[in-house]
This record gives sequence, C-alpha cells and structure tokens, in this order.
Amino acid sequence: MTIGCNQIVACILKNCENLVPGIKDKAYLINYDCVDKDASTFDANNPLWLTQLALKTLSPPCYAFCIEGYNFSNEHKVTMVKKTYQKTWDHSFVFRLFDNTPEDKLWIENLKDSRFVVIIENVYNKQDATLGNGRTVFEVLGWDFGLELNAAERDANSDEMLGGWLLTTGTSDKMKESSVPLSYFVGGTITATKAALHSLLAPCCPAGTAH
Amino acid sequence: MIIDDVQSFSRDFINFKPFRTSGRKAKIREAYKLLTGKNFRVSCSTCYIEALMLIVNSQPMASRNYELKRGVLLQAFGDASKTCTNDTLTDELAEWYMKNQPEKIIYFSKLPPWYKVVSTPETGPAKLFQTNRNFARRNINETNIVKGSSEPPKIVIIPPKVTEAPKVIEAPAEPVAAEPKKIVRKTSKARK
Repeated sequence: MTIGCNQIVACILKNCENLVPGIKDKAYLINYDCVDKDASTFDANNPLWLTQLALKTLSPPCYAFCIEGYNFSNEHKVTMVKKTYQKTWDHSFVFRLFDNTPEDKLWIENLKDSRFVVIIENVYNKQDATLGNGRTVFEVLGWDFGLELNAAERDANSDEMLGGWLLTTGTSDKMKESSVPLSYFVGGTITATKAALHSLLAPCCPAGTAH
Repeated sequence: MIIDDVQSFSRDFINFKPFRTSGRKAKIREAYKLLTGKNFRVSCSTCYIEALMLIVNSQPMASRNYELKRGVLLQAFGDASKTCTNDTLTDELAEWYMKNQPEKIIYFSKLPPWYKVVSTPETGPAKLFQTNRNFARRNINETNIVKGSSEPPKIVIIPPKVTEAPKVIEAPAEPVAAEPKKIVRKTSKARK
C-alpha cells in the first residue's frame, strides 16, 4: 500500500477566466484495441494529463474516425459512481447523426459491437501563460475500458431530430472508469496537440480538421 | 490536391473493403477525369482498382525509410525545428533522433531494413539491433529505450558480418564400400 497517496496536497484558487460550457461538434472515435498504451505517455506529476496518445500499427490500419454533429449536438457528461469501498467514474458521450443512409446504418451496427475511446474538444480554452494555453481543450474518454453504445434511437416523427439518430455511448454497466476523463495536451502547446491529433485522423476526416 | 488525397487512401482502398466508400469512389472518379479527361464507368467495380493504379503511378510517391506511429509527436528540448509528427517526419530528422535520442525508437512504426528490433529471454523485450555497415558512424552506444522499468532493455549493436572466404576442409579418407555390380541388360537395340 502506498503511503501518502489520495491526500489533498494543493489549493484550488479562484478562476479568473470565463468558464465556457459545451463541446464542439466534431469528436474523434478510436477503436479501443488500437490505442498503444505502451507508447502513450503521461505527465510525470499528473497521471490525468495525457501527453502522448499513440496508435498501434495494425491491419486494418488504426485511425481516429471523425463524427461531425451540428449546432452543438454533441453532449458529454461525467459522473462519479459511489460503490461500497471504492469510487469510480461514469463517462458519457451523446451524439446525433442527422442522416439515415445504408452507410450510416452499417456504421451504427459496427459501433454497437465495438469499444472505443473518444476524444472530445471543449469550447473552454483556458489561457495560462505559465503552464500553456489550451490545456482544457481536448479530453479523452474511456481510457481504461473504452466506451460502448448504450442506446440508439431513431424517431422518424421527431421534431428535433427529423428522423436522425440519437446515439448514447458510455462506460459499461459494471466496469466503470477509474478516473475522470484525461486531459490531452501534447508538446506544451495547443498547436502541437492539434498536429498530434491530426496525425491520428483517418483519411475520411475532412482536410484541415482538428481545429 | 485530389490526386494526393487519392494516393493517401489507395492502399486501404485496395486491401480493405470497408474503405471502399462512395465518397472515396467519387474522389477516384474525379482524379481519373482530371488525369485522362475521360468519364469513368461507375458500374464497373474493377475499374476503380485499375483507375487507382493509374492515379498512383501518375506521380512518384515519396518513400521514407522511417514512419512514426499515429499520434506521436517527437520533440527535442530547446530545438523547435526538430518537432515533428508522422506527417512532417523526414529521413534526416529520423536519423537525428536515432543518433541523439535512440530511446524514441518505440515511437517508430517503420524502420529501415538495417534496424532490427528483437526480444530475447536474456535481454528482455524490444532490443534494437543495427546491422548494416553504417553502424559505426551512427555512434549509438548502449542506451535505455524504455523508461520507467528498473532494468530496461538496451540497444545493442551488432557489427556487420565479415564475409570470409569459405575454408576448404578435406574430409578424411573413408573406406569406400564396394559398389554392387550393376547389372546391365542388353537391349535388343544394343544387340543390333
């Protein structure tokens, strides 16, 4: 047993930045088995700060696949789950597909049976000259176990969705994440982080993504 | 440019059916028309592969000896010019990292044939063996390549093999067993 862990060792001071809610319409899904955890690195002082996310070299090739929503249609929520002895975390990511083509249906069928890690982009971009601007922008959900599709719904008469798909993903019912979503910040700058993210992207992602 | 775009997914398109999406087929048609000026026969499925070959061969593809794993960003402390991802990696940069920071070998997904990463029970996993004639000038000494473990494996350089002329060893004279007499039957033609 480690002595001295799980103790409060720092202060939280007032945040003078304006906190901005919401995540952007573009998110990135990576098959869980594609993540090369041996080559991925964390900050030496903070295990919740992912400083490198590398993918394995497999066949078929591993990529981060884009999903594009519309008008803030993606949602994210993280909640703590209190168990008898330990506390875990439930990561949730909800997104909407405003289409219903055969390709979309096949994509949803494949998603149904897969586990995946999600990279989301927060609107909130804290400016911090000391530690680096943009450390709050990208987050990684499902690092321990990956997320799965928990619900899929298409209401053809929906006023809001207009016959599109509402897809709810999250951690599995029993196996929850051991920590909150990881902050993804590579190379000390948001530019380097976007360059690293860009190198993850699948060819189907539109050119000039990861903004 | 549309041709570069088609070249980037050509390998996946040929090898994996899920990658043959309608969007990519549209790009192939567009690139084909750009190159040849002819319209593409949409109904012909094998025509896409043939068109892809034509598009791929239309431009020399840049070949690199090194490739990084997707998502990896290499940085050298104090030198921003050495920062690169797989998109911006050049052979020169990779050579620099091999020489100065060989522990970053774990971030490479493709290495030239003169590098060989092997694992042995004595030395642990992931050892790098460099086996070509350029090993001397690279000056890679034993260096840890995996951080965090107490006894990390080390990079080991194997000097190039010196090809020696094969020695001729005379075999000791052994008693040769008497061969059985061959029975030769005379054929009717021989008689003639």
